[in-house]
Amino acid sequence: MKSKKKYIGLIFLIPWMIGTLIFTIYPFISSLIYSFTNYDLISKPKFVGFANYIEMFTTDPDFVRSLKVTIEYTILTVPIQLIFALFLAFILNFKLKGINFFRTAYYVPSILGGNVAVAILWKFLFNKTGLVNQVIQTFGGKPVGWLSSSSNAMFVLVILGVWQFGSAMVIFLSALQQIPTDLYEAARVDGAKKWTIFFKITIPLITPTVFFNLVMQLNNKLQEFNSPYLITNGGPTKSTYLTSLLIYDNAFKNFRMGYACAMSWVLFIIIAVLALALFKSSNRWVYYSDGGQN
Amino acid sequence: MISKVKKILIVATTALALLGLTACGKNSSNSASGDNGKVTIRFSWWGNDDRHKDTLKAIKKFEKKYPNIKVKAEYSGWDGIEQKMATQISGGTEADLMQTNYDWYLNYSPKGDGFVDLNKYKNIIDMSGYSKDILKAGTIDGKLNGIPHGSNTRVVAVNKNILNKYGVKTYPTTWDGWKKVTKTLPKGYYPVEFHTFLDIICYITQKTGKSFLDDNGKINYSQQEIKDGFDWYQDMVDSGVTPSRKWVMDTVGSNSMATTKEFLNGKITGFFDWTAVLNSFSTNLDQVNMTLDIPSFPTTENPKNDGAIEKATMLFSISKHSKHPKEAAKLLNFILNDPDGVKAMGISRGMPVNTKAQKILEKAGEVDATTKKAVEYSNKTNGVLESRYLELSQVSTAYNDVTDRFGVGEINSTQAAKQIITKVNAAVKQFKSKN
Amino acid sequence: MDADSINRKVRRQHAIESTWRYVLLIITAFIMIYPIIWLFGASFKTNAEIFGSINFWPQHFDWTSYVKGWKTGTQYSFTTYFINSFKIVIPKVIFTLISCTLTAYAFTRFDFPGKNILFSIVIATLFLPAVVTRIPLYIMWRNLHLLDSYVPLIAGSVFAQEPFFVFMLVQFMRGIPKEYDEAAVMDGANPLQILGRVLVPMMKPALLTVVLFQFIWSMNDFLTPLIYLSSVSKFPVAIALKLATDATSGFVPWNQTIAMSLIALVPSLILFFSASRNFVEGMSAGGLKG
Repeated sequence: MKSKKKYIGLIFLIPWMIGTLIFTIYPFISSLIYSFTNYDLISKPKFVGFANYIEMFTTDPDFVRSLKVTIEYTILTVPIQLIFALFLAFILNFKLKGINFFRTAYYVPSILGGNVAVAILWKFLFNKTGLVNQVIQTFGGKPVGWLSSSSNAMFVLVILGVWQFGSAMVIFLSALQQIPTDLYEAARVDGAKKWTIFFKITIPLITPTVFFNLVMQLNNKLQEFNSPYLITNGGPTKSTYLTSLLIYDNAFKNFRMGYACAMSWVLFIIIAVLALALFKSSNRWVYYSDGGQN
Repeated sequence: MISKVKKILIVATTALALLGLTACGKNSSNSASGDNGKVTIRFSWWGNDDRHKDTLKAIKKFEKKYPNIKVKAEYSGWDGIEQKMATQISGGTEADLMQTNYDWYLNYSPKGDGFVDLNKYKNIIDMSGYSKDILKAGTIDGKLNGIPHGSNTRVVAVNKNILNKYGVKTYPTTWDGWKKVTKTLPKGYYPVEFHTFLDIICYITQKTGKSFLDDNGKINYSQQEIKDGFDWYQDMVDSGVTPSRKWVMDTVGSNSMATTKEFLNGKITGFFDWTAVLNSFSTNLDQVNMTLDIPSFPTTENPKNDGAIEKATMLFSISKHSKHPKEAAKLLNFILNDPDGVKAMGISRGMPVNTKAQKILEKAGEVDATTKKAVEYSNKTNGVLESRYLELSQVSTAYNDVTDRFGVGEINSTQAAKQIITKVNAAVKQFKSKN
Repeated sequence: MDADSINRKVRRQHAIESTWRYVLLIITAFIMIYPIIWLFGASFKTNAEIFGSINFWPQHFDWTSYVKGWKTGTQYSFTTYFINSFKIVIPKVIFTLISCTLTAYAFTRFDFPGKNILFSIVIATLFLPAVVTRIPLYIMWRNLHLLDSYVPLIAGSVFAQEPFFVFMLVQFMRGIPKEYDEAAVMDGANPLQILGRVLVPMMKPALLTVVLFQFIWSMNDFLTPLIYLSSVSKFPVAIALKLATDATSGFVPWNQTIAMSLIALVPSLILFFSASRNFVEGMSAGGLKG
C-alpha cells in the first residue's frame, strides 16, 4: 500500500513535471547563463564572468538604491494591505443584506489592475489641483505636491498598492468560508465573545492562508512594476525607481539583457531567502488541520 | 469517477493538440509565399486610431495596384511596443517592413547591419524628394538603415486667445521679450512652460552655435556653458516665464501637458515641445474654443544659431530576415512617393519630409491648420540635427535625473553642470563598451 | 434585570452594531468604487472636459463614445476582440483548475522522495522576474513554429505552470483534516475518488477563487499576448484597449478608451458578482458535510 501510494502521488505530478521541464527549467537556466554575459539581444552573448554582479554593487549607483526603495515600499505596503484585507474579509463573511454588492465593490480596484484608466484616474486624484488636494483644502489644509517630493510620491504608490487589496481579501474570504460552522457554534455555546472567537478560533484556523498571502504579497511587492511605471515613472530623482522598473529599463530600453538577468537573480535570491525564513518560521505559527508537515 | 477525470484529461490534451495543429497550419501559410506566385509581406507600425485607419487605407490601395503582393498589417498602440520590437528583433521575427524610432537604431543596428541597406533598392525607392541631411539620420556606417517619414523640430507654441486677451498681439522674438510678457499676464499664468534638459540645450546652442553631443556621443559644451544654461533656466523660472520643474512634476506627472487642466484653461499659455505632438494640443484646445499658434522660436541676443533641435521621426526599415525585401521596398516606395499612397497615408504621421509627398498632400488639401503652421515654422527655422546619442535611453536617463535634482533644489547649477558631464559621459562609455 | 430587558438590550446592541457595520461598509465601498463612477462619467466627456474639469457629471450624455469605441479604428470591432479573449481565457481557466488541483493533491496527500525539493521549485518559480524569461521562452515558441497562435498563452496552464494557484490550493487542502480521506478509504474509495468526492466539494470556495482570479488576470493580461500575437485579428480585449492610445502620435479620444475599459470590466464583474453569491453556498455545503 505504502509503495503504491508513492507511485500514485508521482503520477498526479506528471503534468507539472513535464511543464516545469519545458516552461521553467529552460528559461531559468538561460537567464542564469545570460547573467554572466554581455547580451544585447542582437548579437551573440559574450561571457564576462562576474562583471555584471560586480558592477551592480560597485559602479552602478542605481541598483542598491532601487533595492532600498523596493524594500521600503514592500515594508510599507504589505502589512497595511494584509490587515485591511483580513479585516474586510472578516466583515464581508457575515450574512448581511447586499453583501454581494459590497464584496464586488471592494474587489473593483483589483479588477482594474494596470488598466489604462488607472493612470488617468490616479492623475486626476493626485495632481496639484486634483481631488485629494481639493478635499484637503476644504478641510483647511494646504495643497500637497504629491509627485515632486520623494516621500509623497512613495506615499501615492503605497496607497495604490493598498487600494488593490482585493485579491488578498478574496483569499481570506474563501478561507473563512472553509471553516466548519460547527466550530463557531461550539464556541458560542461556551459563551465566548466575538473577538475572542476571532483571535482564538478564526485566526489560528486560517493561518495557512495568512501565510500564503504574506509570501505572495511580499513577492508581488518586491517585484512591483505597474504602479511606478504608470504613475511616477521612477521619479522624482529616482526615489520610486523600484528594482523591477530598473530591470525592465536595462533589458528593453538599454538592451543590456545580461545585466538585467544578473539583477533579476539577485532579486530572486533576496526573495527566496525571505521566503525560506518565512517557511522555517511557519512551523511555529501556522496550523495545518491535516496534522502533517510539508 | 476515474473515468470522468480520465475523460477530462483526454479531452484537454486533444484540445491542446488541435489548437497547436491549427496554429501551426496557419503559421506556415503566413511566412511562405502561397500559391500562384502571390507573396505575403508583413508591415508593422504603432500609433493612434487615425494612423491605423490611414495606413490600412494605403495598404488597400497598394494591394490593388500590386495584386501579387498581399500585405499583412501588424499594428498596436505605443504601450509595450519597445518590448515587443526588442523580442522580435532578437528572435529574428520582425515584420518585413516596419516603422521604427530614431533612437532605436543605436541599439538595433550599432554597425549598420541590423537592417537591409536601402541603398540597394534605389531603383525601387525614389529618394529624390529627400535632402541628404535627412537621409543621414537613417544612415549608419554608410548603410541606409531607414528612411525617415518626417522630421520633428523643437517648437514653442502658444494659446492665441489668452495672449490676445491680455494685449499681446505680436509675439516676442527673444527670451527677454517673453520675460516682459509675464508682466502683462495675470498672476499664475506662464507664457512659455518648459522643464526639460532639451530646452536648456536649445538655449546653449543659440549661444554657442554647437550641438550638445557630436555624432560619436562626445559632449561639445564646456562645464561653464552648461552651467550658464542652468542659470538661464533658473532665471526663466524666477521671472515667471515658466513654472518650476517641481510644479510641472506635481501638475503633469508623467503625462502630456496637453492633458492638463492648466493648459486647457490657459494658465499654461505657451509651452515647449516637438512639432509632431502639436496636434494633440490643438485638438484638445479646440474643444474649449481656443486656438494654438506658433510664434518664431525665441532666441538670445545675437544668437549664433536658431537653436531648435531637430530629429528624424518614424523611420521605415526593412528586416534583414525578410524573404521578400523587393516587395517590401515596393510598399515603402508606394507609401512614400506614390500619389495614391501618400494621399491615403495623409498626415497621421505628421507632415512628410519628402518634398514630393508634401506637394501631393498640399494639392489634395489634406493638411490641417496646425500642421501647416508647424511646417511653415520648420521651414523657416534652421534646426540643429541632433546626435543619435541624445535620446539614447541611458543618456536621457542621465540628464533627466540631473535636471530633476536641480529642479527640486537638491543641487545648484555648478553641480548640475558637473554631473551632466560625468553622467552623460559614463552612459555613453557604458553603451560603447558593449560593442 | 429580567430576561425581557436583557433581550431588548441585546437586540438594541445588535441594531447599533449592524448600523455601524453598514455605515462602515458603505463608506469604504464608496471609496472603492468611486473610480468606476468617475470613469463612467468621464466616458461621456470630451478630452477637454476629462482633463479640465473636476466635476464628475458630464455636460452631455452622448453615447457615441461607446458606439465608436466598440467599432474601433481598426479592421475589427470589439466583438472580435471579446471572442478572442474568451478563446484564450476559458480554456486557460479550465486547464488551470484541473492541472493545479491534481498537482496540489499530489503535494498534500502523498509522500514521495524529493517532495520537499519539488515543492520548493514550485514556489521558487514565482520569484524570478518574468522580464528575463520572456526572450528564451519566445525563442522556444518560435522554434516550435507556434508564434502568433494562442498555444503559448494557454500551454502553461495545461501543465500546472501556475505556481500561485498550486501554492494556494496546497494551503487550502492542508486545512482539511486527513480524517475525511481516511473515512473515504474505509468506504473503499480510490485516490481519485477521494479527491473528487471529499476534497473538491470541501474546497469549493478556493476553487472558485482560482476560477475568478485566473479569469480576471488573463482578461487583463496585456504584455504576454502582445508579444506572442502579431495578427490584429487574434488580439484579445486587453490589447485592443490600448490600440488607439499613442499620446506621442497626436490625438487620443480618451472617452472611447475609457468607455471600452469599462465595458471590458463587465465580464469580470458579472463573474465576480455571481461567484460571490456562491461563496455563501460553498460555506454551508462544505461546512455541513464536515
